[in-house]
Amino acid sequence: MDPTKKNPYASAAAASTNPKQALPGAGKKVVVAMSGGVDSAVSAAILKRQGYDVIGIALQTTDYSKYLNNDSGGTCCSVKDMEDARRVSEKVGIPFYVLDTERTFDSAVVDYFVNDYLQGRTPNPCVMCNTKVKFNHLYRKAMDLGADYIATGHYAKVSKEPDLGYCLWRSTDSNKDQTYFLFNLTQRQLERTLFPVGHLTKPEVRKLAEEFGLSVAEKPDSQEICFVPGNDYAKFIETRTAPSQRRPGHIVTAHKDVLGTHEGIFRYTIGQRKGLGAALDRAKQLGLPDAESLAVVKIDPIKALVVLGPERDLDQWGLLVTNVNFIVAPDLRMPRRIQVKVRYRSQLVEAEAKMLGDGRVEVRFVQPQRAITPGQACVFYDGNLCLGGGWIHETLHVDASDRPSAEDNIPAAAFRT
Amino acid sequence: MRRAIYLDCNASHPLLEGVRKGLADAILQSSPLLGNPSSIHADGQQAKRVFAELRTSLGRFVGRAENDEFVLTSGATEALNLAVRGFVRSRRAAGRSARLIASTVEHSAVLDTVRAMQGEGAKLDLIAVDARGALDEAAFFAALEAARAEDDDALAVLQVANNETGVAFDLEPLLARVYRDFGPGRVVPVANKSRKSRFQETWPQSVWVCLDAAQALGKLDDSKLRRLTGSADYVALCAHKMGGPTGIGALWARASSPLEPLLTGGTQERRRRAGTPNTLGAFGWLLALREWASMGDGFRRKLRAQQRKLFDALGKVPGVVFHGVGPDGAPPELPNTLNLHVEGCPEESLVLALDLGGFLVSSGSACNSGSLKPSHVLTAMGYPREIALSSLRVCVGVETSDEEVEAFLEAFAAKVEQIRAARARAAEFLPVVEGSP
Repeated sequence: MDPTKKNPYASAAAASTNPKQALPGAGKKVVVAMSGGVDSAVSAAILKRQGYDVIGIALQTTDYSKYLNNDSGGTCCSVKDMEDARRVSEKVGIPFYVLDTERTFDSAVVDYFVNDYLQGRTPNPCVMCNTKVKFNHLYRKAMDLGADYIATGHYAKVSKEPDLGYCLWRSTDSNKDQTYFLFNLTQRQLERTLFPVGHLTKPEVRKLAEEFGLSVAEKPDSQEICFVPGNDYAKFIETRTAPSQRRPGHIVTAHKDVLGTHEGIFRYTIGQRKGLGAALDRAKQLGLPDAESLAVVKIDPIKALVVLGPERDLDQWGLLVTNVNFIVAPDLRMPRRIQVKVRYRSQLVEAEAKMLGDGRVEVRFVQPQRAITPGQACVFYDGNLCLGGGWIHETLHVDASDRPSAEDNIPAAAFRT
Repeated sequence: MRRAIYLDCNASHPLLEGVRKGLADAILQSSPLLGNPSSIHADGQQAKRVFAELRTSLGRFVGRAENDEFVLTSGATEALNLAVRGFVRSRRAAGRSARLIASTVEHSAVLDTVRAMQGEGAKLDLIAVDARGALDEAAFFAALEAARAEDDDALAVLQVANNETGVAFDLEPLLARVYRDFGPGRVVPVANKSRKSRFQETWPQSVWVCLDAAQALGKLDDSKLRRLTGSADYVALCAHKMGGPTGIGALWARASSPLEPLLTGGTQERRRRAGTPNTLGAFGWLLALREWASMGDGFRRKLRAQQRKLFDALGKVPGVVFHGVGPDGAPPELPNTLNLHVEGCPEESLVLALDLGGFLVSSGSACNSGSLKPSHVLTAMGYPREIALSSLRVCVGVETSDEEVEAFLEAFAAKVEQIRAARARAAEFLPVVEGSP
């Protein structure tokens, strides 16, 4: 045997079992999800410094060899990202593996993404990826490898509270908070989850990356959907569907004025104003009021209709949430005052929530919300505590008399413990 | 601190002791043996002798004395490319239609190349294997019949032993039948190598055989290898599977075998492969060949004994299923190789768990990013994707100790138990709520 060949992981194991330093991670093993980005890189480095026995794992979601000769496609999990993650792992001194999750990703995320668009909804593949691919895979792999925890570079915090159990909290950096993507986690999962950068701001994370000497310190954040080349959804959906699935239809107003035709409802999303040129011209010809400012206010997948309306029609007072997961369960038998987030890039807003008999949750806003988009997630909060969330099924018509007012004396969320 | 235990010797066999020492000495002394053999001066002459001796050594292994029939390459992959691409190109130049025949369990160096040639107009027959990994001989001969019927020049590329499963095709009778039924072009070695007589003897050959002996060289009995290569037209070889350095290999090609260079730019290798030859590699390979020549029987006995020990002991671990087991229930022909999966240990978890414990075995084949893809060999043998992905290959080497084998057996049983226990609890960690409605 080659004498220069040493167990590359022996030193990591030795460091973590040094009894002199009572490090928080001493004797604990953790699997870190490495995306190639700066957040997960710093997470791994922090855990290593805390004495954990760290294993880096990257999930490869798409076979990027398909794109090797041109652009690597997306902004996450590409071959370049895998190499970045590998380099970081070497620097931090942890073993690193790339796992192929292409098949799961394809059926759980890509197919869902395409189907949702075909049904006139606006999907959120990142939430779906976290729920069905990333965390699932990591917990399973962590157990296989005898690890105690999994960790990711999400901006979120976990704590164990005496009355509530494991709680998911918004991150210290409220601009970066990513609890919106994590509403589907369970108690059992949170018990085994670490978010090492959740108490840091992004600038702090970058500074730490520099201190740790990580090559990804300056790497820009990923913005686009990783599997859609050039962020061109419509083109991507075309490549994944048969022509018969891409039914053309009419562009109409709520009063059934026909303004034109379209090449498939998947090209439209609620609130969209761009790309409506010909339909707007037609509206002007017809002398419709608000012809200047029409936007997509509704998509009817059954009749293949794209409905345009004035911007005020985008204002919604309520919505219905299905497939709800509660991390900690508030008592919603009676309406309770909570905060909700209806898309990742929007603020928390005041609302009233009430659970229906079938487990769905009705949400009524204190202030009307613009462009509620079925298919996105609606996540529930009590202050900084993430209660859970679900998927926006449809908007809800709320009579003026039923709207909660800011002065309403509705009790804040109480918890069933 | 314990060293990692390396049981992936079919990927690359660790350098043999004699190779390590010999190379280290030569490097440290800046030995003229490592000079450019094309140079006319004294050092060049010395280096040249290394190459001459290497060819002679190789000749003994494959039973050929004509050492100018070896084209040294960067490895078996290049050697196979040279054979396949060169064959197709030469047939095209001769105005003949080329047909390639290969088994579905060939190394991807062969499969990717024959597919590329198919893209350039060559006919291609991929011959299936059965669940054990044995060649479908009826299909193989049907392809040769088709070649005859369509007046093609055919090149059959077959491995001597499979790198993943260790299974060896039953090539002796197969090649005998190729010779008998698809002669008369079978070449007989001739003493008088005048162009004219050679031409008469080989014409009109229409079937050529290329053997991929990369994995077999050394590990498989020399005399058996010599018998096989005696009835082949090309043999691909490499150094690093037998404890030599990576980066050097060879294609043995009969003087009569069509050959077109892939690389041009110099007169090296009789214009069949341009570029300054790899002297460090050549010297290392020569040292490895010397070691196998003197100790080969002992090496093979030792490998076989450890394979048997692993086979018996792993077979007792619950859920272990071996692949490529012989009809008599014996482990595969390649004496150092076992391929298996464990029921209840899906995905790549077992390989990872073993790696983390310092036991280096391999699984499937790595893709660009480094993730594992299901093994095409096991897929071709009919195993479902899940098994092809979760299988692992355990290959001992010449210097693997019995203690290392013992340590591996202990760790293996422990990791299997850990993963099975984890899988039994995996449902606890599933999300409670399904995804989007």
